[in-house]
Amino acid sequence: MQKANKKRRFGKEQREFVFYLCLVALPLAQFCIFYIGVNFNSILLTFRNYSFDEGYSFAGFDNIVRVFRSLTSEAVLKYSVRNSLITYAVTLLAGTTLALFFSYFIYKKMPLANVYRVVLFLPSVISSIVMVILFKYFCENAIPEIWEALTGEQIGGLLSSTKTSFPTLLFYLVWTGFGTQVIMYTGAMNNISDSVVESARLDGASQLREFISITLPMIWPTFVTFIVVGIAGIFTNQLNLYSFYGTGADLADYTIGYYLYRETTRATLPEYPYLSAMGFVFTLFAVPLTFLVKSALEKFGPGTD
Amino acid sequence: MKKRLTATILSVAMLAGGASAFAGCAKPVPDDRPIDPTKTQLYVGNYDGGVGGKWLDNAAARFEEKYKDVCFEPGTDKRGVQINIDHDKEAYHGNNLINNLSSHDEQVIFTERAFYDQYISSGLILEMTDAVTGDLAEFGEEGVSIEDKIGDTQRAYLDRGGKYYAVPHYRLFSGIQYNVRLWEDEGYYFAADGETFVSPGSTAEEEPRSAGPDGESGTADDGLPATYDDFFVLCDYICETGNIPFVWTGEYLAQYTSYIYWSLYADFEGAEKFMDNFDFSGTADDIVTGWNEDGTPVLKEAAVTPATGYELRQQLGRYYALSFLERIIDGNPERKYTYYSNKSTGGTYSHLNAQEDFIKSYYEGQAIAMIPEGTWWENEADAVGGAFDTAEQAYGQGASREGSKFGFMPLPKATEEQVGDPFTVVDTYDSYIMYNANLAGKDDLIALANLFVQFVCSDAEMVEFTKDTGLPRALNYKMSADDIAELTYYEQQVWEVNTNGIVVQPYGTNALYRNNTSTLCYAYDWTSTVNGRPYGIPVRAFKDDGISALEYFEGMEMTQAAWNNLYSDDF
Repeated sequence: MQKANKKRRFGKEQREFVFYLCLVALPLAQFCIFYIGVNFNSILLTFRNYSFDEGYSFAGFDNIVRVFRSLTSEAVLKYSVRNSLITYAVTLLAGTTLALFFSYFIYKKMPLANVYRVVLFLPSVISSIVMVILFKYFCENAIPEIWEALTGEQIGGLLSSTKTSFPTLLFYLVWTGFGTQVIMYTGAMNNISDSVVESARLDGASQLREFISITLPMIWPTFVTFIVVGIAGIFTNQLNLYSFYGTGADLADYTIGYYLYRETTRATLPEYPYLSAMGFVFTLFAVPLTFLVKSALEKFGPGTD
Repeated sequence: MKKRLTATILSVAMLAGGASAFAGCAKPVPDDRPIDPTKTQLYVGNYDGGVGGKWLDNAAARFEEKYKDVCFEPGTDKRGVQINIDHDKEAYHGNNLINNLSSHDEQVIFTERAFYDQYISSGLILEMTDAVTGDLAEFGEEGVSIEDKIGDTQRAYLDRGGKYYAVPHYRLFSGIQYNVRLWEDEGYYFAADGETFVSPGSTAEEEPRSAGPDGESGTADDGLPATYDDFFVLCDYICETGNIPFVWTGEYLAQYTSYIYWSLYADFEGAEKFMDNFDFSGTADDIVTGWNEDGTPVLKEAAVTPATGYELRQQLGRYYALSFLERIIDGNPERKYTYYSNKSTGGTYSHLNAQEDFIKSYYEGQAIAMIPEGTWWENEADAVGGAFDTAEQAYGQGASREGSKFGFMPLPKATEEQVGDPFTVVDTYDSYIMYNANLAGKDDLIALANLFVQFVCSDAEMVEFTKDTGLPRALNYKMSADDIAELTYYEQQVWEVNTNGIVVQPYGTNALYRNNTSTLCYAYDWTSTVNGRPYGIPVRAFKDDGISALEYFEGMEMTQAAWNNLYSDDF
């Protein structure tokens, strides 16, 4: 009987292990091939050259030097770096601040809180390409018509003018980025103990004081996660340029993420090492920055004591 | 029990999910027809862009009929061939095809924007020398091979030590298209004096027209503007008569407006100097180094080599082409004439919308005279539910593709001195027929594929292609007068340019060009930096930021250091 039980228990563990394997095998394989494999190959390419006549050759740091020269001489790359940093700054300052504000608004069940929840989360559940098309038609057709009806003056579409396209793209990014943040922040806020909040209220804390001294410290880990993920994505954020313009975006609107994507999709083999080197260089910037910001936020962030 | 049930459901769901992911990789049968096991199967992929696939369906049907009793797989009972065609706009184009060809079942590929060296070096395509060099006697062309029909530049590019891996497919060029009927009705042709316009509705016999850009009377371009200045006199006249000179897509603004300045540049430089951009050899005698007080350019001569390729960004033709575009954007402020439709500024206004307005506007009061497009545009507008369809439904047979009368405009010349120079166009988009490497080792199928490729490259079939699409194949062949008569007015003009104009094949065999094809192809890079800001779309620079053509041109200058940084590995 004991032996049978042991056998049965072993069988259960085995079954659980198989179940676990089923659960992780596919994502693990995907991670190994499409992340580790691809990135390892990209790093190797950084130090190689390719020519159709001679094949691969060792390039040392030549490609990295070329990247630095390009970054200091090519206007499109300077703009791409600038735009990537602006994009992060705007999403951090405007996006995160507003997301926190809306989340707190919803958490406190203020009037129309649920309406806000749906409206802000809608862009996240609707297909991104549908959202892009809707927004594009609104900016390119509706706004010029409304403007003309109001002022009698004809204007072009917001996305097709050199003066308005970048701010419009930033607006769209911030707006469509609310959904996930609001869900996560409200989730974290709902976990705050009611007794802590009530105690603060009894002590006469205002809404602002409650937010600063109770809510923010309690959701700090979630906040840090968003900031750190954002930092890691500074040089991969495409600002939805491909969705709006395909490969034909205005050079002054480029971000590094879009530049790399666009160049990679049209490049041939000999052009890959240079692009790999560029990705490598930006990774060298992003990785330490990410860790630095993470540790700083954890060290200097508000405590829950 | 409940736990076990949940686990089972989850497991099944996961397996189903995984299976569906793999099922997604399985290619559906491309053709609607069921597979006929009594016939040999040949799988063909076709880029279904502006040229479409009707021509291939027709050619495949003729091939199947011709060889219905032939056995292509000795030792089997199979007779005849079934050609299964997958028409797709994404799968058989550019880097999409490069990235996915190895997983395609298709064996013969008709593609566009294919970077030849990339395919060869990646082992994605199979050598097809036998098809290229084999005699076409089977199709009534004894002693002739496909190789004999390939132009010299393209043959030099495709021939890799006596081996061929691709056959040129079709030839496309772009420029300015115009509504001939509008020209006739409104009298937009220059009269013989070259300064006034002919009377509305008059014919060339009734009222002689000017000699046009070729400088010869009695030719197809008679009455068309001979110089840039003439062209803008015409634009004013078009506005004066209540019509609009241009419409273009706002959605693909960069691409379609480039058809104007890029074609003008090629035509200005002529074949030999334009080819410097690809072969990096020869001498460029029109490199701008500055400007005289009277506005004339100071030019220098420079030897063009791979190390000095950057000099070509300051070729005079580029400046003239940009100044032409600037004048279109500026219009005539004194007379308050705008030379383009206000729809052209909208980012959702597609090339198909522009085609439809171009066709329909003739019947709707304010006609649009010209559109920058490629030679494939009539074919593209002829799709079911396309521009010609809706125009015909609204305005009758006269608005159909067959009933319309559009023209491919021989471009005006920048200066009086250039009038009389031949019209130069550029064959773009690298369209090829290739074999997928999945044919390797399948000798019977390779023999069948060779036969099929030779069939579609026979003179008779190339004529059929042109009749179906209105476009020339990128091989040398002739059309009889009867064949030409079957083409629409526009297609006849395209054929005329193809046979009597100078068609540049923009390919280089040097390492610099081949290793950097994606950036050097077609000399498409017109990026500029003005006041530190990068520009890639001249129209936007002119319209939104008030940048002049001269500023834009000067901003295109590239230093030797920048050129070396990008390309020095290849020279």
